[in-house]
This record gives sequence, C-alpha cells and structure tokens, in this order.
Amino acid sequence: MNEKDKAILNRLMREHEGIFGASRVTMVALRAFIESLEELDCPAEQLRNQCMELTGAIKNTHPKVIPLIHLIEEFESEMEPYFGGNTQEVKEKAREILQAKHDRLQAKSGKIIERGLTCVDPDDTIVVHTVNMNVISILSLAHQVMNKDIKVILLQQNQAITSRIINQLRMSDVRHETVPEYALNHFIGRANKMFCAALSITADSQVVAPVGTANITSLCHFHKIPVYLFANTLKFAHGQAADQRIHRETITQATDADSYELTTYSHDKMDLELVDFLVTEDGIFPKEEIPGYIDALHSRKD
Amino acid sequence: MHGALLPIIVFVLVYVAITFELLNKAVAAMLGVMVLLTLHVITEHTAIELIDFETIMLLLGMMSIVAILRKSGFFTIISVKIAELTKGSPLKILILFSVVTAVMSAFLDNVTTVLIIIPIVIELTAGMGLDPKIYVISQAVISNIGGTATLIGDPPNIIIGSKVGLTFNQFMFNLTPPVIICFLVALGFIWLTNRSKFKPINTDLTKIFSVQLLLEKIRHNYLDIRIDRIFLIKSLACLFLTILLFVTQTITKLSPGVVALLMAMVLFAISKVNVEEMLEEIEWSTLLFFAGLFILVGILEEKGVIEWIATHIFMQVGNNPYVMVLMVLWVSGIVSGFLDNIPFTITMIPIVRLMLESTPVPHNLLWWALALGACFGGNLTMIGASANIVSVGMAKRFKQDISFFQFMRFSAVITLLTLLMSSAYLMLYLWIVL
Repeated sequence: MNEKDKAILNRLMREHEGIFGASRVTMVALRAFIESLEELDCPAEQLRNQCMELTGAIKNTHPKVIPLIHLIEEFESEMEPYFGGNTQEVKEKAREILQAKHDRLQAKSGKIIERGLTCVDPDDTIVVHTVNMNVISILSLAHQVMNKDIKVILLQQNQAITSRIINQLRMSDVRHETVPEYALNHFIGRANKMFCAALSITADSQVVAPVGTANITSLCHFHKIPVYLFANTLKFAHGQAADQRIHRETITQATDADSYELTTYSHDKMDLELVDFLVTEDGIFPKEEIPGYIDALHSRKD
Repeated sequence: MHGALLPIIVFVLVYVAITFELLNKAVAAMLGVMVLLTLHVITEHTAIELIDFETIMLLLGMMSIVAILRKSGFFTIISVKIAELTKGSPLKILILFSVVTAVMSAFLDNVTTVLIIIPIVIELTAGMGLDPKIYVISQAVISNIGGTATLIGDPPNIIIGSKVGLTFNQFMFNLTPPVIICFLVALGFIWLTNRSKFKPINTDLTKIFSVQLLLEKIRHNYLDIRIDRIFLIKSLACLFLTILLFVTQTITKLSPGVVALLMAMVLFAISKVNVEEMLEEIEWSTLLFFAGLFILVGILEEKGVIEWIATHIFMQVGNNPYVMVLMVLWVSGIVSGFLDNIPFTITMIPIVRLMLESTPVPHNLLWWALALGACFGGNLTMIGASANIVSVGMAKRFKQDISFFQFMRFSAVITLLTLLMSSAYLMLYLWIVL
C-alpha cells in the first residue's frame, strides 16, 4: 500500500468520523469491508495478504478509531484458521464474521440509547455538541416516543454537520436553538445537562472527542452543569491518549494583507474528570464510580 | 445594401463585445438594438416582428421544466446511483457518466447537465486519488456531443428547428445516429490516449474499501435531502409528456415552442412550487440575448447584407452539393470553436436559406450540416460552449485548474474526429439520396 493510498484512507476515515461519529463510522467501515470483499477479484492464496493489508491500514489510521480497531483485531484472529480455503469459502466466512461484529455494535448502540433515555427528564434543556447518532436518537425518542418536552441547545460546528443534526431534530419535532460554540455562556443559566460522545476513552483517563468538546465541557463543568458522556465499551482503549494519533495539520491562511500558518487538530483531548455521568451499555455510572468501572472493564477484557 | 453600413458596424461591435466578453451578452445585443432604434434605422414594431417567438417560447418552456426538475432532486439521485454502479472502476466512471451526460444533454440543456454531473464526478475521482481533469473535460465534451442529438439538446438546434420548422423527430432520426457514432469515437479516443489511467481497481482490497467509504460519503453529501415523491412523479410525468408531444408533433400539429411552454405552465400549476423562486432560475439574460440577436440579424437580412455574404462568400464554392454541405459543416465547426455558436447560427440561417434557394440540397442536409458543425464546433476550445466554461469553472472551485491548452489538447482532436465522422455521414447520406 503506497503513501498516497494510505493518505486517502486516513482522510476518508477522518471525514466519516466527523460526519457520523465513531460508532457509525465503525458500522460503515464494516459494511464497506464486506462489500469490498465481494468486489475483490484475486486468487485464494492472495486473500490473506489482501485482508491483512487492509486491516493493517484500518488499525493505523489517524486518529485511531478504537471501536473499529477492537473489532478488526478480533476479526483477524477469528479469520486466521480459514485463510487456507478456496476464495468463495474465505469470503463467505469473512462476511459472516464481519456481519456479526456489525450486529454486535448495533446491539450495543441500541442498549446505550435505552440507558440514555432514562437520563432525559421532562423540561430538560440539554446542551448538545457532538454529532453522535446515539445522542440524537436519545433526544428524538425522548420527545417523540416518551413525550418528554425537552429543549436542545445545539452548538454549531461545521455547517454540514450542524445541518445534519438540525434535520434530525426537526424530523422528530424536538425544540432546539442553534448557537455558535463560543456563545454557550449566554445559555449557562438555562441549560441543566450536557450530552456528549467520544471517539475513545484512553487508559490514562483521557477522552478523545470531537473538536470543541474540551472547551464546552470545561465551561459546563465550571458552571456545575452535569456532563453525560455516551460511549459503548468498545471505545475504551488500552493505550494512552498520546498514542491515539490525533491528526495534526498545518495550513496556510491567507488574507488580503497577510498570511499565516494555522495548526489544527482533528480531535480534542479532555480529562475524564470533567464527566459527571458515563453511560455505556452496562449502565449509567456517576463520576465517583467511573474509575472503578473502567478498571473492571479493562480486567474483564484482559 | 442601401443604409446597411450602420447596422453592419453595430453588428460587428456587438459580436466583438460578446466574443471578448467586454459586455454581458444580453446587454451587448440589446444595446445594439437600442442604438439602431434610436438612430431610426428601424421602428420598434419592426424590431418586435423580427423576434422569433417560437424559439423564445421553446427556450422559456424548457428552462422552466428543467428548473422544476432540478428542484425535484431526480438528476442528483440518478448521478449518485451511477456513482454507485461504477464501484470506483475508472473506466466505468468514464463510460457510465458519459452515457448519462449524453442522454441528459439530449433532453436538458448542457449547462444544467454538467452542473449536476461534474461535482459528483470530481468528488468521486479526486477522492480516489485519480486525476479529475480528464473526467471533467470528457463530460463537458460529451455534453456538447449528446446535446446535438435532439431538437431541444443544444441552442443551435433549437434555433434551427424553430426558424426552419424542422420537427423533433426529424432531428432525432437524422442527428442521433451520427451523434451515437461520434460519442463512441470520442470515448474511444479518451480511453486510448489515457489507458494507463483507467486500470481496474478490483484486485486491490484496500482501494475497493476506500471507494466504498467514498461512495458512502457521496450518498450522504448528495442524498441527504428530503425527496417529495409526489413532486418527483409529477415532474417526471410532465417531462415524459413533453417528449411525447415533441415526438407526435406531426399528429398534434403543435410546435415545440407551444408544447414546451404549455407543459411548463401545467407543471407550474400542478407541482405547486414557489413560482417566484422558480422564475429566478430562468436565464432571462439568455432569452434577452436571443431576442436582441434575432433583431440584429433580421435588420442585416432586410438590408441585404446576409444575401451579399451568401452570394459573395458561401456561393462562391459553386453549386456542388457535396462541397456546399462540407463547407457549411466545417465553417460552422471552426467558427463555433472561437465564437458563440448562438449568434453564429442565427446569422447562418438566412445564409443557408439563400444557398438552398440557389441550389436545393435534399433531405435538409445543409441544416444538419449547420447543426452538427455549430454543436460539435463548440468543443474546439474552452470558450466554444457554455458547458465547457461552466465545467472548467466548477473544476476550479474544487481546486482543479484546467488551462485553455489543457482543455484544447483533448477537445480539439475530438472536435476534429467528430467533424470528420460528420463529414463522412453527410457525404454518405448525400450519395444515397442524390
């Protein structure tokens, strides 16, 4: 795999993560893997190398998509005994394993939504920043199915992402007000909860989350607005925050008068200390229980 | 040619202003008309009589139908489906998008077609790390070729059809066969000269995976709109009915202009779109440009200038129909590559009429030569057709700069090939009918 193809894959994964969030991008990638295998035209003896090259590329994206990496690592070990078979058999087995991973993640998301619905109370005014389909589904269902009258303060990110969230909220008839991220201070008196999501939660208790999350969460934490973090158990990484390969890019900004170099990062890092409630498929964990839960989770995995 | 000097000077100045983009085209043409009206060269009543309202009605009708159809999202859905069908194969991207572009251009205007197709083609090819320029240039060129196939596909055909009274079916039966051949030749040329860039990707799992992600992104970017099915069905039904009425023109005796405007009004009425918003989509300046040119050329005709050009330039080649057909084809082809083919066609119509009066050429072959030359000639340079200019402009927005010579290196050979194929077709046709 050459550098150009690596760069293309990295960019695409990053863009998808930005648009859909980590869980959705994982599901999209698993589906893409299945469809790609169907399209692939290569002799049986090359199948293993082709699969390993792709799984290697997926595991090395910038940033790391932790839920996808966990599932791909499982796929690698589960697939290993089958690589000797004929092309069709190998492809069929790979499809079966990948589909099972996809369904498992979908089930985890379903459980998080279920738990998340209990975090919404009537008359809540909830600050939402992250494009995360689980969070949006929780808000939509809380209003549409459970008839909870809520209001969402939607913090604007890039226009395409914000429009996508607005469309979802409109379709569910959820009351919402969209404001720039930097204007949240005007709503501090009115908001009573903040919902966010993450790309990963690292072993050193850092949350890798969409750009802007760290600032917003700090502000909410400072003003004692409870922060709810929604993350399935596949998002917990064994590595440190520094190993998450957050993409750093320096671009030249030109104005009529001058030009300057601007350094940007694909994601934020923030301390898990800022989170008041961690919501996973296992349950809702208040701040004081989070370290114990994470330790138990890691030992369970190990 | 008594009193012709002033109209000639005004006409030349208008042509210069249009060619070198010194003024907006519509403003240049109408300013020329106003100067002649102010100087009492003609009266306002004569000026109005010189406008070919059949052409204006056809253009207005088709522009309205296309504006509503675009709003329905139908063409975007088709483009995304085509992107999915290609599965990232560079050759399939070229072939499938070219087929869609050609078919769409035959029934819609070329600019609308490239506005829909080019962004998706660029997103797909650039996203895969391919060079989008080849694809952009080929879609622009193909849109001009496809537009030649029908009466409503390209402005020169609309003008010829309306002013000469040729039917939709006549255009289809006489121009679609050479257009299909030219389309295949153009595609073959693009493939032959860039074979290394069209290698399949289905032997590389990682590349196929990237394409799948890219297609998901395209689906999300372009199909994340609410589709109103009823509105979509009504729009498509009206387009289908419009084409049906064009095809049955000899039975209904309804001219294309009447059909187009009638169906546009029906669509406005039944689709319940915001009429004001839709009317903003109509290219009023193009309609004004056409009206102005009809008046300017009409004055030249009245003053005997057109007759003089026909007698002293075009008829000098003698009355051999083979030579006449070839001359109209090649002159139209070359001139349309550098000048706007709309004023050129409007100017050429009375000239061709006079040529036919002196030496009748059967089966409207001179008109087909003019249509093929004026439409295919637009491919000669980047400025030869509006679709080329729009395509290059859109590529620039996606940070893909295409220079005048980059475009011409491709398009000039294709123009030469298509004009050669047209010559062969017209010669064979003439040989059979004579």
